[in-house]
Amino acid sequence: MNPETEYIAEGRMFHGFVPHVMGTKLDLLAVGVEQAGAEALWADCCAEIASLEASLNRFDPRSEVARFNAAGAKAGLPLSPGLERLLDLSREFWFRTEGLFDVTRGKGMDLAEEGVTMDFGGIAKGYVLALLRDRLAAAGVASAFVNFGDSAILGRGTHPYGDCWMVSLPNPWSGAPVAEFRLRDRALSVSGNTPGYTGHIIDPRTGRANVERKMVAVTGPDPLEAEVLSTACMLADKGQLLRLRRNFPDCEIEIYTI
Amino acid sequence: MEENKKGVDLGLRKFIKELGYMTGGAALLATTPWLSSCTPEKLAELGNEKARVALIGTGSRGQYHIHNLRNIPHATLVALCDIYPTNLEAASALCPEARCYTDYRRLLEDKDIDGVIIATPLHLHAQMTLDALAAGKHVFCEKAMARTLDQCKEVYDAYTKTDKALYFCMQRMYDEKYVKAVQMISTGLIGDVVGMRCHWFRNADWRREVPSPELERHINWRLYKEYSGGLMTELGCHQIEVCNWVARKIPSRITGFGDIVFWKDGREVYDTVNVTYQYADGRIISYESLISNKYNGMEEQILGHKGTVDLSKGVYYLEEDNLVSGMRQLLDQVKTGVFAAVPTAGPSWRPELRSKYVPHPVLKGGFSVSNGESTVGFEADGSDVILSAFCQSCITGEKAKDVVEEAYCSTVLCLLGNQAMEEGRTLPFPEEYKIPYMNF
Repeated sequence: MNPETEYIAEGRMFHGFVPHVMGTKLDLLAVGVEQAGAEALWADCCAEIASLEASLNRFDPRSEVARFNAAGAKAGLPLSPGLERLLDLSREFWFRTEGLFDVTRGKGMDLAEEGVTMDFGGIAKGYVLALLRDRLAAAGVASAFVNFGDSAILGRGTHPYGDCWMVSLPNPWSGAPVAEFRLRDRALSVSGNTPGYTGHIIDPRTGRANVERKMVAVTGPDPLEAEVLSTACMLADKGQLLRLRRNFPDCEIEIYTI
Repeated sequence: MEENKKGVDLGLRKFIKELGYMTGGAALLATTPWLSSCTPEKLAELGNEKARVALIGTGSRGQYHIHNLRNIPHATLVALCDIYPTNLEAASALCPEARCYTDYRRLLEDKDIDGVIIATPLHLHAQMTLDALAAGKHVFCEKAMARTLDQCKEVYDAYTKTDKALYFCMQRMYDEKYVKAVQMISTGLIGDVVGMRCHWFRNADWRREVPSPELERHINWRLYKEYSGGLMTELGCHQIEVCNWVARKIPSRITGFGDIVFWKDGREVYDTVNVTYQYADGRIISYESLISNKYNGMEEQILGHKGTVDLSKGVYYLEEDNLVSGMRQLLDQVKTGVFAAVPTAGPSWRPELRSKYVPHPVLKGGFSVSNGESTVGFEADGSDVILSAFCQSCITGEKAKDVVEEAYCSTVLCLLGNQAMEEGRTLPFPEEYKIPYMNF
């Protein structure tokens, strides 16, 4: 994973960076921290994330998920407690999103079904953000900003010179700003198609990709909810969208056609 | 100093051991099989044994090896040889206990020598290596392997038959930052390797001071074709080797242009070379060297569809690097007391065009980087480690895996580059110089 760190004495800022994890990059900025403590915290978090990636990466044949996917449900492979917990969470979200979010890719979370496979791509980044939020809280870090591959962002506390953390969302085609978000103990999750990466969000009910020039941004106090919801909203029709807003009252949903 | 007592290369040995643990050994063995005996445990097994080594060729590079040998506890330098008294005296002053020879054949008769280090002009490498192996000595020879293609093949054939250890000083194979970077490339850091660009630029005439005119061709041997392959064998050889190492393949055709553009002082070798190597799968190595402008310095760029590694600097750059646009802006904001939105949010996997790339180091902490200007050698560039590995082989008799093969492949490709430039045509890789190690 090759995590990198830098400490900037002015402002007591710690910056941790992983260039290559879960198919993207991860940045953590913690403000008002001591160097040694921040480095130790970052190393612990990176170890946890690395082990999570090793378990969930369906492209790595040694991972728990890949082995399950290859063996099929009938093999009856025992699942680790970590994966069981993630499956429980996913089951809950499957229910709350009326099946729009489905880590079993259209099998309705039925792990016994023929040919069932698991893919945690729509929840893993949110899970990592939640993990980081909890570790930062436990370590007493009051002000931090986490950016997981641009699409999952967490603002904890405030920017040292502001009353929140502010991020803007550029149009992936034109670069022009589309929206601005104020994050204070809130997470932002963005889903959508980009010029170079279209059609990666698959509707579990039809198996077809959404290829519209559409982008969804969700903010909420829980990074997991935001992450799951942003994917589900890419696929939701009008009625479903109304019900999603009702089922996730803490989240704010913005949909852009661009 | 404790570190010196244990040996200069203990740092790399520890690093190799850690790398082996991290990757379960498999990745390490896949990209760097020659390092499998290069561990602290193997060093400890040597106990107090010392390799008795001799140095043939006591010029600047030979004296550089003397300097490194002093820090290798499992070696003792017992003899020196040179035909040029000035250098022999200078080397003898550095290690007065070593016996002095002026004929290397006499030196090879010395039964108290386990191995020889050859640091002579290129045209002498092959004969001296063959004679030393025939005399039952382990051999460490400077790069390039030999002056001609046939000599390379002859040395390679001798190597396949001997039970002695043979090394050529391909020091990048033992340089921590190269080892780590090649391993990172093999695990997908920069995606598919799509091409390679290597260059070595200096601004100097490459001449040594000559005390008397009849010594011109001997002292400035690098400038004359009888002795030297010019920039390709002296500089290109190292850089083509790392391309082969990364690609695990050998280019199947070679073309290029070269000339004497600036240093028109009677030299015979080109001061400007530009050689293109193409693999059978279409990928290209673009190789360039000239010695009348040093703006571009020395670089070995491995180009991947997701990023670039500059092996010589030990850094990599990612094609899509969020650090510049988002986090770097935010860091600068906080440092300067500014509060504003950072334009970093977006659907993940956002491709971006960007002119500014951020370098990421392949190793933690400080490490040594050469600017490519020295004509002798650079501190901690792996030369000390490969020499230590050779001295270890002198004691254990264990042959180094792949070192001769890598030296053969890169030297042959450099000589073919020279031939392509001189003949002004595109050469296919000749059948007669293929060896089983090569994949095309």
